[in-house]
Amino acid sequence: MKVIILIISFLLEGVISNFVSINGFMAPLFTLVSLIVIYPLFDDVSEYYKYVFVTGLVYDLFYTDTIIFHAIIFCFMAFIITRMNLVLSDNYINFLIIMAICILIYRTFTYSLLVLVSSVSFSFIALILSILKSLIINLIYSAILFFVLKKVRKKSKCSL
Amino acid sequence: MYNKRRFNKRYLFILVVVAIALVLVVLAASLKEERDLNPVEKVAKDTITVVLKVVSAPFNFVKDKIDEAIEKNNIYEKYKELQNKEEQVDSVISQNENLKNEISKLKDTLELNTILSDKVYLNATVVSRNIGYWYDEITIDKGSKNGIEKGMAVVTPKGLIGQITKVSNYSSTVKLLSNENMSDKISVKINIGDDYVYGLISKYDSKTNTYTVEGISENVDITEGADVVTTGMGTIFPSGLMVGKVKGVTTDNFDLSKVVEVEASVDFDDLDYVTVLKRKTE
Repeated sequence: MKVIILIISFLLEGVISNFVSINGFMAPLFTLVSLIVIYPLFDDVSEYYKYVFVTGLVYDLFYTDTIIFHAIIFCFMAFIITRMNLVLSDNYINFLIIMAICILIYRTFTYSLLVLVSSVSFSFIALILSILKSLIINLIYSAILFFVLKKVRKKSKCSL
Repeated sequence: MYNKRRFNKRYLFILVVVAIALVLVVLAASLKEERDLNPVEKVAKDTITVVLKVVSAPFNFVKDKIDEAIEKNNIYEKYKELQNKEEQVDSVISQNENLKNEISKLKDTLELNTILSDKVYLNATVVSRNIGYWYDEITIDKGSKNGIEKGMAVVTPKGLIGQITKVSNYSSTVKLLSNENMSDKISVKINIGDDYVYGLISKYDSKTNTYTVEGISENVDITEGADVVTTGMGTIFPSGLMVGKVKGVTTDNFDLSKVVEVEASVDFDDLDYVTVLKRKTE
């Protein structure tokens, strides 16, 4: 189940990128959203980290050509997800809060690091815009994913 | 108990510092433009290109059907527009043939093998666009086996969009001109009557879709709407590739040179099919 969600989200991120405008108001981050959704499915945290690391590594290899950059960033995000899940309970509103915070941290972190190592100049408006653009489409995707997962879990519980 | 907690905190602190340092080094190394993809990355890139093409096929089918339905609505107006254009095509073709002959004769006379505008074409489909948000890159489905090499110019029918930065066997990455690092220092010329003035693109503004061209002498008259094309100087782009049209002209802070705002002819938001150009070198 976890692997299926990860693979579908990962591929959808690539496919959907072709249907939304490049600098428009939709910036898919489906892989990150799926990492937040699948967290409650894990009993063992170390296993979760392994999944996250591999996903980040594949993301680097397939999409961004950045060697192990996303593998480390995703592990950092996983750390934040696990910490927040300790405080917040498992319902949709809390899930949205976690998602919004994760997108905020992810975008800020990647942008600041890029500004540090490349010749991109820092623009606060560009950063805020990137966060806003990411929120809309990922909110819709997370809603779909959350309710599909809930239905599937209910069904599997009934069949047991 | 206290010691153990302090040790854990210290351990965690060192781990975080090492991780941040590692991230910075890795990112700096991987973003280097002259970096070639390693064999593992090449295989991964080729695999995802094939997978994404298969997965996006049904989505593309639906999108094409919707586009078709929308286009059918105003088919009559388009027909009328094309009818008007068709009348001019014959004369343009004959003019073009004439110019081609003239160029080849002149080349023979001057014993030139190539001129700056000679190029070879390769068509490609966009597989994924700008994943990772900050990189302004697209991936296309043609690679080194199709004859693509690093540094080639990439265009759409409307004009120049970027340059090939990474190549694997069956796919390659294009860095768009909308990226701050890319649009820097591209040599362009602006058409003024029968002559050209030369300048350099210094930056791109994504909000207005305009480039800023600098380094133009103060005493040249530039009209709005003049064509801006590449010069072919340097080794990156062939000459004569459309960049945009002049939108506005201002002078710099010291009144010494002109700063020209150029509206990009390409819409960077929507790229589906592109053409890769190679400058003929022999």
